[in-house]
Amino acid sequence: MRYFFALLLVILLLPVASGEDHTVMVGTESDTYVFSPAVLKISPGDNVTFLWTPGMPHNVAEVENSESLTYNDGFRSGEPQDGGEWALPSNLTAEDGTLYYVCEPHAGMKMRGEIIIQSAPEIAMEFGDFPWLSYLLVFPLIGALWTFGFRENTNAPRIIALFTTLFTLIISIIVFVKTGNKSGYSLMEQYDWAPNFGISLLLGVDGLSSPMVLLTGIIGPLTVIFAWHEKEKPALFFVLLLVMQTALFGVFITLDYFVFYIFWEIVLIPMFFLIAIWGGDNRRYASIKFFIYTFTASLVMLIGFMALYFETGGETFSMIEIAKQNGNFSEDFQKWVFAALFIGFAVKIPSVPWHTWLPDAHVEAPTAGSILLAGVMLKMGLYGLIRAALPVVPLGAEYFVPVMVVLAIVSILYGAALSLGQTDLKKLVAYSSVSHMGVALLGVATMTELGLAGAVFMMFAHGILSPAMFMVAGVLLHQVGTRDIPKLGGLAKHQPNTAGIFVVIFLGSLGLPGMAVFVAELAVFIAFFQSHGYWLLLPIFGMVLTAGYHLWALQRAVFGVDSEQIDMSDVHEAPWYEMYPMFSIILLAVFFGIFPHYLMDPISVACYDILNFMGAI
Amino acid sequence: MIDPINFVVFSSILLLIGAYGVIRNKNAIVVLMSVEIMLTAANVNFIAFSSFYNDLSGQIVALFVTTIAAAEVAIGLAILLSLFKQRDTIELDLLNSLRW
Amino acid sequence: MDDSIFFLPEILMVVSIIGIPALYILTENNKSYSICSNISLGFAFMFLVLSWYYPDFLSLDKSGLVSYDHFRVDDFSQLFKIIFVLTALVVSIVSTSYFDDEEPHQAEYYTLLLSSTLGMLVVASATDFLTLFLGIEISAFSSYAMVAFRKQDDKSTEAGAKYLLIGAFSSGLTLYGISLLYAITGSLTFDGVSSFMHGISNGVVVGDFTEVIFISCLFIMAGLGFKIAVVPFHAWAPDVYQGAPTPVTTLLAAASKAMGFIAVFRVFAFTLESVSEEWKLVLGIIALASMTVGNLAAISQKDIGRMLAYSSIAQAGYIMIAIPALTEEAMSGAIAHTLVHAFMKGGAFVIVGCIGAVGLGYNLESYKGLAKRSPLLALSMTVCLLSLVGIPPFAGFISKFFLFYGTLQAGLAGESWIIALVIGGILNSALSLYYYLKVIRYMYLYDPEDSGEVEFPNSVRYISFGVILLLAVFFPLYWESLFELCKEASIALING
Repeated sequence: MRYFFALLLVILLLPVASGEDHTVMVGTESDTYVFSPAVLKISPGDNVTFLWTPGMPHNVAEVENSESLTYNDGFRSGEPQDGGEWALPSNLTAEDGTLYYVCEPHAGMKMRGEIIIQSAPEIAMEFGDFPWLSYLLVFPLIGALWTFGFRENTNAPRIIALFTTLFTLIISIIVFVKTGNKSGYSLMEQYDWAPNFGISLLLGVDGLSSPMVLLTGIIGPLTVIFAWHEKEKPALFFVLLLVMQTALFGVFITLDYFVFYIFWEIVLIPMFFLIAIWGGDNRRYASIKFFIYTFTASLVMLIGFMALYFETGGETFSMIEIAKQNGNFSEDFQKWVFAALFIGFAVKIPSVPWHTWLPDAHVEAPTAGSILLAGVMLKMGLYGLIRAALPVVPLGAEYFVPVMVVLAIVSILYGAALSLGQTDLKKLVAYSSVSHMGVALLGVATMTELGLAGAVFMMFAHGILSPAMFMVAGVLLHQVGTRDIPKLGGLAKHQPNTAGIFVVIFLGSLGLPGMAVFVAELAVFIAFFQSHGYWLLLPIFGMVLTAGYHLWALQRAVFGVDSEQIDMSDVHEAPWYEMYPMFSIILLAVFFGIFPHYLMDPISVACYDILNFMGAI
Repeated sequence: MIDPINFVVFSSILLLIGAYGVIRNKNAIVVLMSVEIMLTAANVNFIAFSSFYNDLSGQIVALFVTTIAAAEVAIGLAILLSLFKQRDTIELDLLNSLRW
Repeated sequence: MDDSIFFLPEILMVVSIIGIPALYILTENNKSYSICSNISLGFAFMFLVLSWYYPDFLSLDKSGLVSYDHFRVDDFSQLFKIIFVLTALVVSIVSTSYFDDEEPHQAEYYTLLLSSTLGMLVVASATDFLTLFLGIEISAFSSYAMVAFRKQDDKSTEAGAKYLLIGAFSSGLTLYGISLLYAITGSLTFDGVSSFMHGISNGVVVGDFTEVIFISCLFIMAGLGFKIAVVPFHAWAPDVYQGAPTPVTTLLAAASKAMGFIAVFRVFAFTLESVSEEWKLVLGIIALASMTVGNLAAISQKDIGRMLAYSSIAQAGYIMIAIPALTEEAMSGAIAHTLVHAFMKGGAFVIVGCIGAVGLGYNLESYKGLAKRSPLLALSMTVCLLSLVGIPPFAGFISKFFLFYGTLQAGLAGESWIIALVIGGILNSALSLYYYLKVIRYMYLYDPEDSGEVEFPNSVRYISFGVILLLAVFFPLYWESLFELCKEASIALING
C-alpha cells in the first residue's frame, strides 16, 4: 500500500514532460485589429504560435510594458504579413514572466496583447505513515456505539463520552503539531471508494484545517463536561454529540468534494435531533427551520460541485485535482459556480440575509448543542468557502468580492445593532455570532494573506469564545432560572467567582487586547484598510456597537443592584462541571491572544498557498 | 382487399366510444362494459393486421385478450358485488369515502 | 445443465399457487398457507441470488444461456426478479402479523400474493408485447382482488373498485397502443419492433409513420403511466394506497411500481429508442409535472398512506427523468433508484402497516411519540424517510445521486433541456424535505397521545432492523457494487 502511495505521489508531482501548444489569432473574423486571446496564460515550456487571419497585414513585435507602443529589439515576426503563421521562439517561454507585444502598424489602434508565463504552483502532498486522520473519524464513532451499548447505566455514558472526547482531543493535538508550519497537505490518506466515479476518501490537513481540527477536538470534551448532569436521555445525547464530532472532523479533513458533501449533510442530522429533543419551548419550529434552510442551501452547493466535476471531465472529485485545472474554466462558468457555492456556504456562515435560522436554532438548542453549533458548525461555512470555493474558481471569487464586502459589513452592523436590542442573553450571543462571522467574511473578502489569516484566526477565536458565552447563558439559566437580562442584576455579590469568569469572557468576546479575538480583528481590519481604505470606518463602528452591547449586558446582568424578580438566596457559585470548561476556555483565549503565532504561522502558510494558487499573489 | 386504413378508423371509433363510456358513465357495470369495448377495438386492429401481414401472432394476441377480458369481468363483477352488498349502490359518484 | 432450471422461480410460484388451495382442502390451519408461501418465496429468492450472481455455487453455467423467443433471462430481468421475490417475501411475512388468526380467506390471500408475484416475474423476462401484457394483467388482476380483500371493510372494497376500473381502463389504452404498433410494424417482439424503428430512422423503411408512432406512444405511456402512477394518471394511487390493507399497499408501492417501470424501460428505452424524438419531450414533461405535483400535494396530507402515495408519485417523477436521457449511466441510475425506492417505500409501509395493525391508526397524528413506544421502529422509519428525501449518507442519496448524475451527463452531452429536469429534481428534493420531516418530528418531538402499552410483532422488528442495515450501512458502503449490478442490467436492457 505504501508503494502505491509513493507511486501516486510521484505521478502527481511529475512535471509535465512536454509543453502544451497554444495559438493566438492575429485578427479575427469579427474584428481585424485584435489579438485573440489578448491575454494568454501559459506554463513554462509551452509553445505559442501566431496565426494570421487573411485580410489585413499585421506583425508581432515585443514592447517594453503594457503602456509602451514601440518595438524594443525583442522578438519580432518580421515585416507585416497577410496570412501564414509564426511560432514564438521557445527560449522566450522557458521561464516565468510576462511578454508584451503589439502589431507595429496598428499599435496606435491599441492592437496589443500579452503572454503571461506562470509555472503552476506545486502542492506538496505528504502521505502519513500512520493513519492519524482515520483515527479521528473512527474513534468518536466507536465511542458513540460504546455509549449506546451502556445506555441503561447512569454513569457509564458520560464517562465513556468524556474518555472518547479526551482521546480525540489528544489525537487532534497530535495532528495539529504534526502538521506544523509546512506548506501543502500533510498526513494524507487515500482509500478508494468508487473509483469509477473518481470518488475516494482522500484525507489530508494543512494549516487551514489543522486549527479547525484542534478546535473541534477542544470543544468536544468541554461539551461533554458541560452537559455532565443532562437528565433527559443522557446516552442518546452523548451518542449524538459524538456522531456530530465525527462528521465535523470529516468536513475538516476530507479533500474530496463528494465526501465533503456527505459529511456536510451528516452534520445536520444529529444537530436536528439535538435541537428537536432537548431544545426549548419552540424547538419544533426551530429544528425544522434549521434543517430545511441548511439542506436547501447545500443542494445549491451540490449543483456547484457537480458543475465543477463535469467541467473537469468527470474523472475525479478530488479538490486538489480539480483546483489544478482552474486555468481552463471560463470566467462566466467561474462566476456561476462561485455563486452556487457561496449560497451554500453563506447560509452556514451565516451571513445576512441568510442568517434568520441562527437565532431560532440557538435560542432553542440546549447549551451543549449551542456550543457545538456556534463553536464548530458555523465555521464550516467559511472553511468551505476558503477550502472548496476560492482555489477552484478564483475569477468568480474576485468578481464577487464587492458582494462579499457588502454582505460582511451589513452582517457586522446589523448583527451588532440587533444584539443591542436583545433582552434574551442567548439571542444576544446568537446575533453577536452573526456580527463576528461577518468580520471573518470581511477578512476573506480582502483576498490578502493577512485578511485570510485573520479570518481563519477569527474562526478559531470565535470558536472558543462564543461557546463560553453560551456557557454563561447556560449557567444563568441553570443557577438563576432566567436568561432575561432585565430580570437579572447584582449577581456579582452572590457568586463572585462565577461573575468574575463572566466578566473575562465578555471582555474577551468584545475584543480586549491580549485575548484571541483581538488578534483576529486587528489582522482583518489592517488587511481591509490596505485593500479598501477608509471604508474601514464602517466595520470599526460595528466594533464600537459590539463593545457597547457586551458592556451594557454585563453591567445590567452581573453588576448593579439586586434584582427583585429573582430569589437571590438561591444564587450561588456554579458547580465544577460548569466552571472548569469556562475556565479552560479563558486560559486558551489568553494563551492564543498572547502567543498568536502558534496558530498564525500555520494559518498564514496555508493562506499564502491558497492565494498563490489562485494567482492573487 | 380492403384498405387497412379503414380498420384503423373503425377501431379508433370503437376506442373513442369505449373511452367516452368510461369517462361519462356513473354506473360501474357500464364502465366495465365500456372497457370491454376498448379491448375489442384493440382486437380489431390485431386481427385486421394479422391478416394484412399474413402473420398469426396478431390473432393469438386477440385470443389472449378475449380471455383476459373474461377474467377481468369476473374479478370486476366480484368486487362490484361486494361493494353493492355494503352500499346498495354501484354509482361511482358515491365512491367518495376516500378523499382528502 | 439444462437452461430450464432458470425457470425454477416461476415454476415454484405456479406450484405454490396450486399447492395453497390444496392445503386449504386438507387443513383448516391458517398458519400453513403463510408458511407455504414463505417457503416457496424464500427458496425462489435464494435460488435467484445464487443462480445468477454465484453460478459456481450451484455449478450452473450461465454463459451459454439462450434467450427464448418470448422470454429472456438476463442481468436486467434477474436483478428485478430478486427485488420482486424479496418484496413478496417481506409482504408475506408481515401479513402473518397483520391479519388475525381468525381473518377469513387467508388461503386466497396468499394464493393471490403468489400469483401477483408470478405476473411480475413474467414481466421482468418478457421480450414481446404479448408476454409483457399478460404478465402485467396477471399481476394486476391478483392485486385488484388483494386490494378489495377485506370484504367487510368499506374502504378496502371502495379502493378495490377504483383500482379495478382505472386499471382496466389503463390496460385498454396500453393494448390499443400496442395494436397500433403492431399495425405499422407487423411484429410483436421487442426486437422486431425495434429493428423496424431503426429502419425508419435509417431510411430503410419508406413511409411517414411519425404521427402513428406518436399516438401509439401516447397510448402506451398513458396505460403504463397508470401503473407507475405519474401525473396526470396518478389520481387512483392515494385512494388505493390509503384504502388497501397495508401489506398489499407495500406490495403495490414497492414491487408493482417497479414492474411498471420495467415495462416502461423495456418499451421506451429499448424498443422505441430509435424514435425517441417522438416521445422524449412528453416523458420529460410528465416527469417534471409528477415530481412537482406529487410533492406539493403530499405536504397537505393528513393520512400517512396518502402522503406516502404522493411521495411515490414524486419518486416516479424522479425516475422518469432518466428515460429521455437514454444513456447507460442515466438508465443505470434509474434502475438503481427503482430498486432502492422499493426498499425505502417497502420499509416505510411495513411500519405503517404495523402501526395500523396494533390499533394506533393511519393518521399522521398517530405517529406522535413513536420514538418512546419503539425506538427501533422510529429509527427505521426515520432512515426510510430521510432516504426518500435523499440525505447523505443513506441509500436514497446514493441512488438519487446516480440518477441525477447520469441524466446530467446526458444533458451536458446532448439536449440541454434535460438539465432543467435535473435541476427541477434537485429543487423538488428540497421541497419534499418538509413533509417527511413532519413525520419525523411527530415521532420524536411529541409524547404519545395515550399512554397505553403497545406490543409490536417481532417479525416487523426484524424487518425494520434489516431495512436500517440495508439503507444506512450496506448500500452506502458498497454502492460501487450496487451500481455495477445496475450498470450490467442497463447494458443488458439497452443492448437487447
